[in-house]
Amino acid sequence: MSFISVGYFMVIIGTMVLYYLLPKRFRWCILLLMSISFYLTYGIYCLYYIGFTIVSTYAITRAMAVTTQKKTRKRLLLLGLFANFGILVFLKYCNFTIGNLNQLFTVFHIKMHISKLGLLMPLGISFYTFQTMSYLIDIYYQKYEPEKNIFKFALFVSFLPQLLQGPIGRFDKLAPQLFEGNDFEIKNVEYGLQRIAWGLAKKLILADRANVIASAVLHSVSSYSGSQIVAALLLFSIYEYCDFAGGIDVVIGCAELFGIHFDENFRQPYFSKSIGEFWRRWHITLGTWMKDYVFYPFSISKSMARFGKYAKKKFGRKTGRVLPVCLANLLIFFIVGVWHGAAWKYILYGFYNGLIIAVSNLLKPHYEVWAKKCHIRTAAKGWGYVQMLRTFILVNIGWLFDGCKTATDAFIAMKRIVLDFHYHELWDGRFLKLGLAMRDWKILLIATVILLITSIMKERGVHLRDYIAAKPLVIRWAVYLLLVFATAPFGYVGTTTEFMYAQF
Amino acid sequence: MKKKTTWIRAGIFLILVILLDQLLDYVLIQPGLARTIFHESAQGGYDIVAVGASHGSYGIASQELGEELDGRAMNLCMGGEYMYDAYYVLCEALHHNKPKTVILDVDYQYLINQHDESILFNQIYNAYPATFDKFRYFVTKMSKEEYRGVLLRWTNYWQCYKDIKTTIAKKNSQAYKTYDSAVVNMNPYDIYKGDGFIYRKSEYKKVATEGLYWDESKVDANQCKYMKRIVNLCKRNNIQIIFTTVVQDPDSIAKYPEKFQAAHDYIEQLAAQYGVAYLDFNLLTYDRFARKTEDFYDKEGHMYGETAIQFTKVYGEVIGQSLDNTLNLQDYFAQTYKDLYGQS
Repeated sequence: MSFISVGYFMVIIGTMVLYYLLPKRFRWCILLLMSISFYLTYGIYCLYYIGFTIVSTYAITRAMAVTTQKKTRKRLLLLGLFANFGILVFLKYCNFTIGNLNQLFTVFHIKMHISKLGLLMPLGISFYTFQTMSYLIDIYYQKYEPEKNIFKFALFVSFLPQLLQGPIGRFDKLAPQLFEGNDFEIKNVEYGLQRIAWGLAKKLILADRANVIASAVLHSVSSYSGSQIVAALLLFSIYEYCDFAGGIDVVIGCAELFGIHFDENFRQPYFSKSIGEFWRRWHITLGTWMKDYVFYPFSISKSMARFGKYAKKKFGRKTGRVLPVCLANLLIFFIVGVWHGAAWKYILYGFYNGLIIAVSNLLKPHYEVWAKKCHIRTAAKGWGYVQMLRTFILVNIGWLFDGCKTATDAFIAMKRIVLDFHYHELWDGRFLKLGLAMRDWKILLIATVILLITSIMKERGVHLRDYIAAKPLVIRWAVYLLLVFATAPFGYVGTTTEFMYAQF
Repeated sequence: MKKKTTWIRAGIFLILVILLDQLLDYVLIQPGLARTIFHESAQGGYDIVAVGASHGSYGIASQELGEELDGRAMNLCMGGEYMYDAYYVLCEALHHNKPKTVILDVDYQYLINQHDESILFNQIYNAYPATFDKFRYFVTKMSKEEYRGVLLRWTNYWQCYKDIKTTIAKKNSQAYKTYDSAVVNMNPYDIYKGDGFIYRKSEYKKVATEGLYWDESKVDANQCKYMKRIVNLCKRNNIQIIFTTVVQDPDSIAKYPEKFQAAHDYIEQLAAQYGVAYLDFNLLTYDRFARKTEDFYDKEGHMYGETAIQFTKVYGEVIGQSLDNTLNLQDYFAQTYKDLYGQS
């Protein structure tokens, strides 16, 4: 059952009714029951994996709580990390490694072939593993006390709306909301439904439509010219954002129905002025996870301190100070790439982003000098737009790794964009007839403009939800009715895809 | 007091949403054939019931089938009827009929198609009579479907806003109330012959729509599960059941006979596992039933009406012999696709 299935919404509504009918102290139980039952609809095998994560992390953190010895605590931490990340890496990368080994055997004419394993990926494993490991590390650092009740802990790991595609929550923020039982507030329901409808509109009106062309072109780049690939890439950027952010809107909206507020995962990412900023606005919870649990520990580690000293001696103070940060960024984005999937294209995608950020950090002092020499007022609005455009182009180049089938295809696409760019091929009819009717193109265009306007408003600090909520009843209801019904006439009808990140 | 008003407002809004949704359903959704077919089936008295998908609905002429099998035949094959749909369609039919024979026509495409265009295929559920089975149908199938197909059923019809007047008039007409197929919006080249059979006129120009080719890795285990449930349902009710596959465009088969052979082998194996006979009429020899690409209105293999009538005579005859255990397969069928269609 996906986020757009009737069953999902019925489970959420049914649970919501029961949640508010039950006494406060039992409300978390119904959330746990809902989460586990829903997860079971994907197959019992999913439960083994998530069950292992719950039990092992619970046992380890309880053991940490009764141990005073630092060494033992560290060993327990490593055991927990190794076991849980081990499963994730094994499931995601086992067949990828076997495939690469087989290719190596062929290259070196070794008569050996390893068969791939029939592994099934439990849904949401990346999200719940990251969320649980943040808890494990926090307990190690004694940020808060470990949860004593295993069932409550199980709810933290498996809470349904976020289980499938995040956002990656933190225990100290989520636990009180999950366990204490929230009062019914009509505002939560109103805002929650608003958010769900907005997310569905993003997915069904924009993402699914944009995906038709984007996947048609990017999945066979050799058949299309550079101009067509660029146009498809722009559609892919709409698809990627609307699919992921739309899914997160549904998740956040569903949680709001229970009075639970998640951290935001997106903040108008395409308005970023640098790739670094982009990653602070895109999949924010993953970014902060990486910052807190990889970047900082790595940057302040003894070996990095030694490297920093060495770099300062060798390259001077300024560069020497930046180099460890660059290395940490490269590591983070390598992990982000690996996290995205078992393929070289994702590893290159991560490396591409890490490299840009590392180079930007290294060249930052020089940028300022160049800007002065060229008489550019870096504080001017116009320069800000140039930076946005530059970042958007860089982000889109990165999307090629994500959108194309293989890394080789991504390079072919780049080559075609540079060497085989013909504007007229956009208008000769072929591109426009790749799977969308003229009506679909019109809806896509208008919906994109609406999304752009709302994003600009948000960027300028206008809280659209409060803005609508403050309007007279008739206007408010008209907007809500439009939101509820919009996906029927304007949503894409055809091959609807599952939310992209629900498969992580 | 304020809280009370808020609740009342929320309630009114919810009612407004439901009313508006129902209104849009009423004025936009076109009367469909499934409603008429269910009504006919509910009248009872059928001895033979066929379930399956569109190949069956265009390919099995109920009257001719009944004549060949000495009884009244009802063709409950409908476009978009997956195995789980077929199961519930059969459940509904068994409430009103005591058939001796059930024919499950298997179009292998439905075993490998992951049902991704979900909201296009909800006509059967929507027309299904409001019974407890409909609730079960909802839980097992529709709950997994996209919400628009169930909660905003008019999604597929919203472009019919120009015909609102006609739709309302139709729904208020006597013909609609008596389930007459005359009110159904059908392809102008189709004639509904009754008892579930759609006769497509040969004036309809052949279209190039091709079917899906067999890929065992894509088999949906859930479809097979429901095939088994259909078999068990029949066994529980002491009904003879037989699996068939109606003939398709020979030119399309000749392109990839090995793929059709693989599909055949898979279904045959399933049938054997469930203890049911399987008759694949694509293996029917040409001397028993001569056919050419012009007899089918698309490359996927849906039959024109006249072909269907001729075919059903042979179809009924063979099924009859199979049920009587007098069928000698070699008299009618080639052994393999390669024998009949050559190699691709």
